[in-house]
Amino acid sequence: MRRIISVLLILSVFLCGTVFAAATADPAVTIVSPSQTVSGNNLLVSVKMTAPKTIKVYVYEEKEKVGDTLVSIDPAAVAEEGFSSKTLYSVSLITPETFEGTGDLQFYNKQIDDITPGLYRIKVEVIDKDNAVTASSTHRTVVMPKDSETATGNEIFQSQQTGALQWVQNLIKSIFKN
Amino acid sequence: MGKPKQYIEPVKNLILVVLFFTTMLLLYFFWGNPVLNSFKISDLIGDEAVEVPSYQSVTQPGRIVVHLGGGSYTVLEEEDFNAWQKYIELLQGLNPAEVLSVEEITAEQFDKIMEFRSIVYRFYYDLPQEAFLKRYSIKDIHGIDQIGEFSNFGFSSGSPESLFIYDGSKNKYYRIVSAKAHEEMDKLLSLVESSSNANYRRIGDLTGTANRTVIPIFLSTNMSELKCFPEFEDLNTIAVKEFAQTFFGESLDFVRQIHGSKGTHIYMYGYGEKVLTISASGKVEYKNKETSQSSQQSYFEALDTALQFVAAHGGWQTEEGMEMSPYVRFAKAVENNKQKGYRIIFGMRLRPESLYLESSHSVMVEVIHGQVTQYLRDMVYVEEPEYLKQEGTAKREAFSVINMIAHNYTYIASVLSESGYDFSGLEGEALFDAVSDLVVFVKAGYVKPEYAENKENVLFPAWIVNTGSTLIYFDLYSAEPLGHTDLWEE
Repeated sequence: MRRIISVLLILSVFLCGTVFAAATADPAVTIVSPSQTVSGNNLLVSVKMTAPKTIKVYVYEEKEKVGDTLVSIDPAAVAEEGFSSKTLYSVSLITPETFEGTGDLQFYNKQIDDITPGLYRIKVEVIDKDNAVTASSTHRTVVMPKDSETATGNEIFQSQQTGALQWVQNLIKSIFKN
Repeated sequence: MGKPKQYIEPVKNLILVVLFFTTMLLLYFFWGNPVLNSFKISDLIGDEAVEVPSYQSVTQPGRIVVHLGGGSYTVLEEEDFNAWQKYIELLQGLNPAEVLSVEEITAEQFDKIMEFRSIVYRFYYDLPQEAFLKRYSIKDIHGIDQIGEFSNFGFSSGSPESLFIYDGSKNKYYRIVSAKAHEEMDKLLSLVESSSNANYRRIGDLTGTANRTVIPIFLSTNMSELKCFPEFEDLNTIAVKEFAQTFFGESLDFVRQIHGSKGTHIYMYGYGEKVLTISASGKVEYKNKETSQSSQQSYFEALDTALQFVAAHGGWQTEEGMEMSPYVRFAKAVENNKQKGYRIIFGMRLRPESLYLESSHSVMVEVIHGQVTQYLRDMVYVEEPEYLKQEGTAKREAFSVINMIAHNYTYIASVLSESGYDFSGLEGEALFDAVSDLVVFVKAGYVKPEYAENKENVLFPAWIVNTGSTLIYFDLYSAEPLGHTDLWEE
């Protein structure tokens, strides 16, 4: 069930992210990271630029209002309830950073630490010499709790032979020297 | 009256002993160096013991990468958390009766299991399995012989009862499955997690490719340019003569000494069976073509031979300057006239950053059939106050690693093309992806570029980019290329 929820979650965020990103994106500026969902307590933002550009990067946490207070969105609830009908409040996480790329290929990277589970939005504006915005792209990501990976690693080896069978194979190999 | 006769024999013995030592001393003065003030008791009884580093101290992972989960990584230094020693102790404590199996796994399975909190000890050379097990007193485990060589060791919290091994020579992955979980490794991961900064990420996460090499996304450091000095600045000193004597014996009577036009000193024994060349810049090369009477050695025996040889011929430290820590940077099996051996490149650490020399190595030793056939020595030293001075300076932000590669990928491609890589038909992003895929590690260190003579020797803080066979250096703060070293260039 959890997997189905995760898939739905990814799909919904992916669709929304694409809609936003399709607005007036600059083809030379791509948000590489984060992916649609991440787990952990930090958020990596990576933007690739394939032409000399100046960008301004914003990172927000999308929150909802419960009573008079803004609260983080429960990642599990995003898939179940959706967020297209909700009013979201964007709380800035960083002071917007301007990055000037002078080459034909460069990357803007920033890691934001101490992130809590929730919904986050990255906005990248392309600005010209007069600081006017010429293009913009937005990307949403769901940050899951770090321990959300419940599957044990041994599932990875399920197709592997049983210990006894492997032992016999090893024995045969050692007898015949591989 | 019979009593004095009792003493006659002991007195005779004493006189004989005195005469014997007098004879020895006179022989020494007549046949050795006749200058009286050159007499040293240490010449007769030997100098104090030379310091030989242990095989454990020089055999350390090139990199210890810890995945803290969620794509965040940190990289441990050699001594951090005693991490390598803990893994060795774990291997030594494996009870063969409790090992369920040693099985080959796929690269995909290895990558997936390392998605959990995990630790990988990466060696950039292969440790032969049999010699490794024997030297580290690891019990014989049924099925472990299918692993030819050990290149990487790992543990993942996703499968806590397993230890993972990568054999670089066969490009195969294995896991040793025990009956119970290795809790001490899980504790180590928790300890690292609670006290380290997760400031490393995969290149692929930054660029949108599948590259799994981890690089720092941010580095703030006070590493500065350091003045350095070659070990042998003036070749006409007693120190250089004494160094040459360690190869040919006290008397250099049967050794031809040639002083080259560029200031090079050459010492040649016989018809070139043994040749020692010391260049004006202090770089030493010794070649021994004499047929070995020894037997073939395993990797660790060859390592012992190399460690002892260097200790006896110049030592592991320079006479002056701050102490450095030697370690095996790379090693590979070699063969000459059907005789097998190893070529071992040693690096030097200046607590904790490593020192790199353009187109050279601090120490390189080739041991074939138990005999040192080639020895390169290019030691430089830094005065300790000069090194400590930088600690008082303000920290600066290093050039972004990924942008350093992005700015220089055409340069890196041109360097690698000289080593046989083919990038024809690739340009732009495709070339960048191809080049960044070859990056094995990027770390900060000090580099001494190969300058023309009479230019001041300086160590530059640099990003060291390892592509497996070539080390390429870039200024730590400007990302300007500083040169490169082909690891196995003859």
